[in-house]
Amino acid sequence: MSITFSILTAGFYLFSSLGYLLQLIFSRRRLGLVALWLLRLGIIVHTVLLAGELRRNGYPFIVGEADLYLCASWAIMAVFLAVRSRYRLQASGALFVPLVLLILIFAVVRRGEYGLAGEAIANPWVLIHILFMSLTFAVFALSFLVGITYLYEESQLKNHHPGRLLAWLPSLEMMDGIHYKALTVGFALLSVGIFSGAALSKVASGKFFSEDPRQLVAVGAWVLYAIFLNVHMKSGWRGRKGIILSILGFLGVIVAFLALEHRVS
Amino acid sequence: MHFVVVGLSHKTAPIEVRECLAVDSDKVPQVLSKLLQNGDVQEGMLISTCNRVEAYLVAKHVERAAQYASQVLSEEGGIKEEELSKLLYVKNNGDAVAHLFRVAAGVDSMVVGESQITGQVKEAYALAVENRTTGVYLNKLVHKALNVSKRIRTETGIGDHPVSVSYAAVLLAERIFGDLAGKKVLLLGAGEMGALAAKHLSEKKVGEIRIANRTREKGAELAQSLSGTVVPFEEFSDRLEEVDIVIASTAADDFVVKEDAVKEAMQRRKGRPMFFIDISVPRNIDPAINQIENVYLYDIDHLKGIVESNLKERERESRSAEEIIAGEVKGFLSAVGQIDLSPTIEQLSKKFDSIRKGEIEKYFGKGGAITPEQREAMEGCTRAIVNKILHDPIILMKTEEPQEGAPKYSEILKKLFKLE
Repeated sequence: MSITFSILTAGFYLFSSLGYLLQLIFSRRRLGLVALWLLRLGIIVHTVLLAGELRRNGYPFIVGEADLYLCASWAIMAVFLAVRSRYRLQASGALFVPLVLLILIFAVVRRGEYGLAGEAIANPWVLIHILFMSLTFAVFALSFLVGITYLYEESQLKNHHPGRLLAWLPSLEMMDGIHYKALTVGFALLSVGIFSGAALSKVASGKFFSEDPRQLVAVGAWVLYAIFLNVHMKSGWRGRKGIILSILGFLGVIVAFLALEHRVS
Repeated sequence: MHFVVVGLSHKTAPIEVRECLAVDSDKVPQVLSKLLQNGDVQEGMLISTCNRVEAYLVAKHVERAAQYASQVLSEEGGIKEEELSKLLYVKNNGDAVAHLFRVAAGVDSMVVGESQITGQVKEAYALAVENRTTGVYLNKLVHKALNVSKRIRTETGIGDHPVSVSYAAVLLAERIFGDLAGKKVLLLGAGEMGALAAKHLSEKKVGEIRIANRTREKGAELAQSLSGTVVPFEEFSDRLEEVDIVIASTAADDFVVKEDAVKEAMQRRKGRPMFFIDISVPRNIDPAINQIENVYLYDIDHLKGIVESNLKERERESRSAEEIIAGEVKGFLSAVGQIDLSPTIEQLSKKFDSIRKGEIEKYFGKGGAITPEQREAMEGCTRAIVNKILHDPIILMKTEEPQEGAPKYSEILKKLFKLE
């Protein structure tokens, strides 16, 4: 991975995070604008970094875990920039950018290679699988961060202390809506991700479903989200409790994912 | 030329005095023309609202103009001059300019940051223009003041936080629902504050306003003014699940909205949020409903608490406004100084040029002594000499201020060269 571009990207994201945080502390819109520009520069360098990495890897482009993090963090930034003005999420930059920075640092520190060797690695399913899993992660991260913001605003309103920060955030109903929309989209992406993962497994080990721990986590998460979304749609379940549940679910899946490694037998 | 303001406001005078002194807009022209009768006063504008009465003047002499203005105000208000003089403030030049900037931006208002005053300044100015009592200086001053007011509103948060109970409630509704278009509102009771909140909501284009009042006629009257519908008071809680926002301001002395009814309504709404505003004392909505998931209840004390902290927030913002004002006053005064200088510069140049022309005429006027080409060269040469001599004093006058208390450079030049 290009050291210069990694440091440059991380630097832009770091200062952008600071800008977003200071904007909230001093409630000065201008700081937020500066942060946004730093973020835009950051994502340009990030794109160059990602493109360089993919070119260096050659077909099928995404091979290691570092690439996954690089892709996922890029996808989160892209999702954030795409929805920020439409949903008044400008102030949430203070949550999004640090998260991306964290994942980027992960990409540098954790350089695990997949246990795929020989022909299996030169397989188009690898690319499709990692691409969709990155997007899934990005969209679930959106629902996670919006969920946290919701809990903050909800508790302020419930306890009759609506601070000045609230003027910067979307309304409760809107955040509830974004949260479930993101979960639904994420669920669809996860389905494709799991399917392509199974296809990859078939190529690598001859079985669609092996005792790969990460595969188990993914399928488990899929089942949980399926139940959760189903209950939400049927009963109109909304508000704090549902969001707490989905936040815990997201954290659980992430922890499990990081703790376990792919094991292709 | 000096800017002078003579007046009183809620900060210096009690309401009884302000009432007496307040000048109706149809009497303003009369007072203005009276003010300008004095030879020391060149331009004038009068701001008269329920919180302040102030005469803004452009005068040749500060003390004499202020004295005369307070005399006029005391005559108009029917208050003895000795009494009035204790309450009046007189500010001049930089202080007067800063004062108008503060007033126009709402920094000096009773409710800091209110925007009505900006409109009142505009009206006062329009009246003065109509009566031809303004000139170069007041025009510049008022335009700048309105400009500064706009700048303060965009650059500071002075007007951002609601400072009325009913408007604070509406903003809370927006925090919960976002866009209020299409939301349904139920108004319980026809109390004044509740009606005001409902009016703010109707301005946000809510879908429907239902009014339930014990006396049906009064409810119907209100329904008409809010273009809402009337529902029988006894039945409002049967269809509670249909509304998103409930405002209670009845005279009942117990809970009109009960916990069970709200629980049931929430079940039927499938947990979609509801917002309850209780502006009545004693309270009309059971405070226990705030514990129900997705239900938000604010009573009058909560709303007042928000308003108070918003007022403090505005005070804090007014400090950044003061910084802006200080910078703008400096810029304005130096711009005005330039207008002051231009007649002097013009006179100076004219005098020197006429001397130059006179001397050339004296020596070569009869003709024959030099050729036209030589004469042209002579003209050019002498003009250059004059310009070079005048260059330094003019630049000095434009860019440097004399020491405190010393006469202005322009005054000195006028004396030295017998201008005017």
